[in-house]
Amino acid sequence: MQTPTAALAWELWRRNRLRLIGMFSMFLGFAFIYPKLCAMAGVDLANSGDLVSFGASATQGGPRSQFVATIHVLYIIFLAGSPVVALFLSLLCLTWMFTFVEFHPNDKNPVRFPDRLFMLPISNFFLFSLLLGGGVAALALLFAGWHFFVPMPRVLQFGAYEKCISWLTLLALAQGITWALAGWPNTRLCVLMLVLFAFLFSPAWPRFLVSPIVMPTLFLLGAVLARVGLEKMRHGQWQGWTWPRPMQALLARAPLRGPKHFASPAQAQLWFEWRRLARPLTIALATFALVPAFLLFLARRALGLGPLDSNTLAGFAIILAIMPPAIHFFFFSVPALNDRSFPMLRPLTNGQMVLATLKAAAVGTALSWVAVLLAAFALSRLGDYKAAGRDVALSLGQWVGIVWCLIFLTWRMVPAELCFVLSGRRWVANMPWLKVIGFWVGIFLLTLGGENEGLRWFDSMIFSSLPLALLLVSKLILAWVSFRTSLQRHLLAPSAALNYLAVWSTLVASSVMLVVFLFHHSAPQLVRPLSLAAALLVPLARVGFAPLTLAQSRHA
Amino acid sequence: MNTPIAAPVVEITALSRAFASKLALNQVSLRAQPGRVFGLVGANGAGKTTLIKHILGRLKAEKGLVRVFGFDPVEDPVAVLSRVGYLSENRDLPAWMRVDELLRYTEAFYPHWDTAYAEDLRRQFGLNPRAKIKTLSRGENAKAGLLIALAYRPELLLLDEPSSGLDPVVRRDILEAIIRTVADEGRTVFFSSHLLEEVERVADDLAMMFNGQIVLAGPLDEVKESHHRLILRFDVPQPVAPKVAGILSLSGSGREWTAICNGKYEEAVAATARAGGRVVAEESPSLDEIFVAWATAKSL
Amino acid sequence: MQLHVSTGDGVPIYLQIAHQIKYLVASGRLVPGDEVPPIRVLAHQLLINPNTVARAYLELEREGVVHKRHGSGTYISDAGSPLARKERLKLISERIDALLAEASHLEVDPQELLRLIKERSQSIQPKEIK
Repeated sequence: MQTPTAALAWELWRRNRLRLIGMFSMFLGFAFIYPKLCAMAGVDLANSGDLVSFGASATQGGPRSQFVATIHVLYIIFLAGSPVVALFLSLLCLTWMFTFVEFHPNDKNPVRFPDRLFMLPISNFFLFSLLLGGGVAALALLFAGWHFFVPMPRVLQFGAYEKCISWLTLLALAQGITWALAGWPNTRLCVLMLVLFAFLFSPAWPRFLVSPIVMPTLFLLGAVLARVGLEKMRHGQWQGWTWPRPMQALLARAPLRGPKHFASPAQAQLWFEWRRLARPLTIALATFALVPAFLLFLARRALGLGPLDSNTLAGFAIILAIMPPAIHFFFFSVPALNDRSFPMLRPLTNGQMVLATLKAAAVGTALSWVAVLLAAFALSRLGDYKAAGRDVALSLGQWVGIVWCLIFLTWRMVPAELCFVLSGRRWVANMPWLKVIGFWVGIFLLTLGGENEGLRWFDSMIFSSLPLALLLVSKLILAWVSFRTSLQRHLLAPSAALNYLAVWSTLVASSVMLVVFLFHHSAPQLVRPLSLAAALLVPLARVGFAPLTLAQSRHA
Repeated sequence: MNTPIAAPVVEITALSRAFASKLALNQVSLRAQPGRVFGLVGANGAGKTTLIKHILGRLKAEKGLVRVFGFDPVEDPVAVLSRVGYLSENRDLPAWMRVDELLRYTEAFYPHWDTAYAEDLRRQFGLNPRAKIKTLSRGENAKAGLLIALAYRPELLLLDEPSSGLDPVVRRDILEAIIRTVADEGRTVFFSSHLLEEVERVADDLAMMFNGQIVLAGPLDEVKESHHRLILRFDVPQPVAPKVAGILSLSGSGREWTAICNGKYEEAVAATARAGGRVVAEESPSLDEIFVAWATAKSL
Repeated sequence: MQLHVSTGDGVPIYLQIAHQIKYLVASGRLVPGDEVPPIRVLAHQLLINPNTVARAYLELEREGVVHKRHGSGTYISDAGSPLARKERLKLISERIDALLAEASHLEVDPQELLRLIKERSQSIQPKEIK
C-alpha cells in the first residue's frame, strides 16, 4: 500500500471480503444461471406482465398432484422475486459498507465510526470524498452490471428502485444521517429506518414527489450532511443532548418496576432473556411496522389521493410478512448479540437458559405479529383490498392458516439457530444465509423432480405418509436421546423438559387440528401427510440438543 | 540543554470545556517545550483525556486556544497528525487485522515511516506478524499500538495512560520508548499517567490536574524541591487532625503527625507552634505523597 | 558500573546518581581514567530521563569528579587534584554529621563516640590484612 487511498480501499475490502464475494457470486449466478432456470421452468422473461399472469402462465403444464403444483408456484414466485431481492440486498449492503461504521456490541454506542481513522494524517475532505465517491462508483457499477447482464422480470413495478439516482441518494442520505447524528444513536436509528421505509414505500408517494428534481436535491442534502457530520464527529462537536433531559431524570428516580423478587431462577432468566433481546426486537418491529403504515395512511387520506393498485398492495404485504421472520432470524443467529457469558457464570442450568430464550422469543413473536397485522390492516385501507383479495382466491380459513404458519415460522427461527449460535462455532453461525440458499435449492430440486415424467415416483414418494412417518419416528428417537442425555448430565431439569413437551404437544395438536379443518373437505388425501409434516416442523430434538451445545461453549 | 526561546511544541491557553452540565476543563494553560518529557498527572476524571483529545483535534476548543507545532489541530489535522505518534489507553486497534497488515496499512499514511526500524521494533517486542490483533494479549496489544506510534519517529509522542493494566515488562518497554524518543535530538514526549513512580523517573516537566484545573505546573525538580514533608510532634495527643495553616495535608495519630506543605515552610512552622507542637524533622516527599496531599486538599 | 535509583526517596534522582558515582570513586571501584557510561546508555539502563543523567554529570563535572574529553566521552578525574579531594572530604563530613545527629538522639556524647571509632577501626583492620 503506497498511498492513503490504497490503504483505505484495502481496509474496506478486507473488512467486507465475504460480503463482497457473496455479492459478486450472486451477480454471476443471476447473470448466467438464472436465465437457464427460467427457460427450464418455461418462463418467458421478455414477455412477463404482472405477478398473477406470470404465475398463471407458469402453471400450465401436465397433470400434477396439488402438492407439486403448490411447490411449483412457490418456485415461480422465487424465480420472479429473487433477482429483485438479490439486487436490493446487494445495494443495501454496499450502502451500509460505505458508511464505514463498526459494530462493538458491548460499548455505550455500539455502532460507530472508527476513531482511529481520525488519528491518521488525512483531511476531512479526503475522507468524505473517498467514502462518498467510492460509494457512488461502486453502486453505479453494481447497478449497471445488474441492469445490463441480468434479465429481470418486469413483474414488480417499484418505480423508485429502478433508477440508479434513487440508490445514490439513499447512499448519500445514509452517510449523512449516520455521521451527522452520531451523537444521538437512538434518534439516528429512527431517522435511518424512516428514510429506509420512505424508500421502500416510495410507490405510495404522490406523483409530484417523484419528479426529477427531488432526488438530486436529496442527494446534495445528504452529501452536505455527510461532509459536515464527518467534521463534527472528528472534532467532538454535536456530542448529543446538552440540555438536561427531564424524562431521563424522572425515569432514573422512578421506583423499580416489575417483580421485586423473582420466584425462581428460571423466572429471573426469563426476565433476562426478555429484556436482553426479545423486548427490544418487539418494540423495534412494532415501531417499524406501525409508524410508516400509519403515517402513510394519514398522508394519503389527508392529501386525498386515490387507492393503491393491487400490485403495490401485494408488495407491501410481502414486505410486512417477511420482516418478522427475517429480523428474528438475523438477530437470534448473530453470535455477538447472543453472548451469554454473563448468565453462564450464574448457578443456572443450560436447560433453563435455553427454555428462557424460547419462551421470551415466543412472547416477542406473538406481540410483533399483532403489530404487523395492525400495520397490514392500515395499509389495506389504502387500496382496494377487496379487489386484490378476489384475485388471490383464498377462504378465510386459508388466510388464518397462512397467518398461523407465518407466526409459527417466525418463532421457529429461534430454536432453529440455537444450536449453532450456542455452540460458539462461529463460522457456522456466521453463515445463516447458507440455510436460505439451501432452502431455495431444495425447492428447485423438488420442482425438477415434479417436472420430470420419469421421476413421477418422486412425487408420490416424497409426499406419501410412509416416509414422513419414518422421518417423524427418527425425529422422536433423536429427541428421546438428546433429552435423556441432557437430563442425565443435569443440564435440564425434568420439570422444564416436561413443560416443553407439553408445549410441543399443544403446538402439534393445534397444527393438526388446523390442517384437518382446512383440508378435510377440499383435499382429504392431504390430511395425513400434512399432519405428519406439521409434527415434523415443530422443533423438539433441537431443543434437547441445545443444552448440550451450550455446555460445549460454557465449559470449553 | 534547551533554549527558552524555542517555540513550544504544545501550547494551550485558557482552555475550557463543558460536557452537559459538567465542567471538564477550567481555564487550563500549559506549554510543552521541545526535547523534553512532559508528564500530566491527575485523578481519574480530572480531565487528562479531555485535554489530550483537544491536542489531537478530537475535540474542538470551545473557549481558549490550542496550538500544536504552531498549528490548530482542528483547522490543520494533516500538519499536526503527521508529526504526532499517539498511544491511547484503550488502544483502538482493529481486531480483524493481522499485525503485518496493520504495519503495511499504517505505513501508507506517513511519509517518514522507517520500515527497517519498524521491523526491528516488532522483533524486539516479540510480536508475531501473522497474528490477528484480536488474539493478542493486553500487553501485546499495547506493544502493537506503541509500535505503530513509534515507527515513523514522530516529533511528538503523545501517550494517554500508556501503562494502565500492563505488566512490568511491557511497562519497561514503554518507558524505554519514551527515553529513546527524547534522547533523539528535538523530539518531545507528552504523557498522562497515574503511575507516579514512572512520572518521577522520566518527566522533565510536570503538571497536576484536579477537577479540570491545573494546580501545579513546572519542572519536576522544582516541584519536588518546593514541597516538604514535616514530622510534627505535639505535646498533647490530638484526637483529630489539628488545624495547621499553610499545609496541604496531615496524617497520623496521637502525638506524631506527618504534614506535607507546599513552599510555605516558615508559615507551617509558626502555625505548628501555635497549635502546640514542633517540627522534629523535615524531608523531601515523594511525588506520590505530593499527589495524595493535593488530592486531599482539593477534596475538602 | 552498577547504579540504582529509587523514586519516592525524597532525594532527586540526579543527586542519587552523583552521590553513587562519587562513592564509587572514593571507594576505589572507579579509578581515574575510567570512562563513565554515555548519557544515553545510562538513561536506558536505569530507565530514567537522559536530561537527568546529563544534569548529574554536569554536577559531577562542576565538582571536578569527572571531566569531558572532546567528543570521546566523560572520564573520572585525577584523584590527586585538590578539588576531588575536597569532594571526598565533603562526602565524609556529611556522613559524620549524620552520625553525630544519631549519637545525640541516642544520647551518646562525642567523647564516647571518638572512643568507639578508634575501637571499631582497630577491630576491622586485622581482617583486611588477611
